[in-house]
Amino acid sequence: MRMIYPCLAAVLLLLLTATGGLASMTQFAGSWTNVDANTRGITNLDISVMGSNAKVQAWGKCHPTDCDWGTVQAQAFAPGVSSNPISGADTLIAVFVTSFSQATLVIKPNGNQLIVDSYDRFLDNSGRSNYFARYTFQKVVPGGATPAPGGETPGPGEAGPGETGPGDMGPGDTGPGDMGPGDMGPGGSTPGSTPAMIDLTGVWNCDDGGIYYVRQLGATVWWYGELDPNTPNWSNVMRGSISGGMINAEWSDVPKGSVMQNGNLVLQIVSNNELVAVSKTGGFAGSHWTR
Amino acid sequence: MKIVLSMVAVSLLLLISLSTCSASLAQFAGDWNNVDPNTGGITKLSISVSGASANVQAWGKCHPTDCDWGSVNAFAFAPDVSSDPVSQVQALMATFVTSFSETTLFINAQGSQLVVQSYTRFTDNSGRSNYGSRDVFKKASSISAIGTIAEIQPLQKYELQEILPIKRKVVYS
Repeated sequence: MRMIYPCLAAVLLLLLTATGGLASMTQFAGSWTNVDANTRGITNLDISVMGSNAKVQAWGKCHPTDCDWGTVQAQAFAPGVSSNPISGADTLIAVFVTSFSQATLVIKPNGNQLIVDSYDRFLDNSGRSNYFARYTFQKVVPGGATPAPGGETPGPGEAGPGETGPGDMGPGDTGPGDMGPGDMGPGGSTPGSTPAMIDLTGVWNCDDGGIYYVRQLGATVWWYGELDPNTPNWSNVMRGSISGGMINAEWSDVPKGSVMQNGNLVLQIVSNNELVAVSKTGGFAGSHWTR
Repeated sequence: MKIVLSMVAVSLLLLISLSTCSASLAQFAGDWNNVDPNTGGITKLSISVSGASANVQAWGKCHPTDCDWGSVNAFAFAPDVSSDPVSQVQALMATFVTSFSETTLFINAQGSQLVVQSYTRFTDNSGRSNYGSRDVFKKASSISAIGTIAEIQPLQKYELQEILPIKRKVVYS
């Protein structure tokens, strides 16, 4: 008989946790961190609420600091058309769009946690599969040990499963400036802002065999690249803008080399020492830069 | 002891039913009926699959006949970016847009059923609240295929007699 009660309690607990009870908008508000410190997907969420409006900011796992996806307006959903949209809200849906991907987050409260279903689809014809992931988040205690996320590198879709390499850092490794619930307002950092921590100026090597001389000024990046300093088969210049951890650029061959092509590039800033091409046009050969 | 085992079994069953697992895209294909015949929401789904593409047609509860929402292209989602988008599918997402609303369906295969989370938001400033619902669908048997069976006319009595004559059983005494 003694065994029955724990089992009953377990079943009831399971039922309770599985049931999406009626929530309210305020239940979503605050700073949230993924309960899985080793997640390779979304690490942190900041949700600010005003009336029936909600804004969601998300961070994905990146190295050396998590990627800031920016802040988007979320849609709130209640159980019925006549439900109170503030006191009856039980789901938020937030969509993050980059030049190459779209991440739809379906956010539901589950007790004192949030369950987040993330649907990521790629728009860049890169051949990568759209993917689904489910995450559980717990609220960050004000003044607690969990720092707010810092850094601004790649956007949604890039920090998901299978995208980031070993040695990624957990949420506890990110920058200073702890934020309590509700601290994150609509004026938070956005993908368009220039991350102070990104510094790409220097000499880079690429898997196309070339050497690239990169200069970053604020959110603008230039380079001159060539295969060989004396008689290069090809040589090119590039100008791009940093936004949301990506570089959107135009490139063109110049007549030091003999090849004459041009096109566009979208580069992911993996770190200050690594760039990866997400999309390329014009026959650009290189895909991976390191220094 | 039996009760304890039953409880454990129920718990495990619940956990299994709650977990999301990947399926093949083909597992979503077919005609599906809401297990709740009294639903006020989506009554039927028809999902067609071709390679890595899927189309979803939905019907909503209407009177006297259900409303056809039309057919839309759906996006399939795998467990990760390198998964096979045909053999490993965890969910489909399909969005239906009207002049006054937008409804997104998130469709998961669970066992032999589909679990559909539906989110409708109104774009007409009508003041109606956006709302969500969760429905379970089971595959329609081929005999109850959507739409066509009702068009078959019942056979007349005399036709039945002509088609199926009753054989007399001859008893020799």
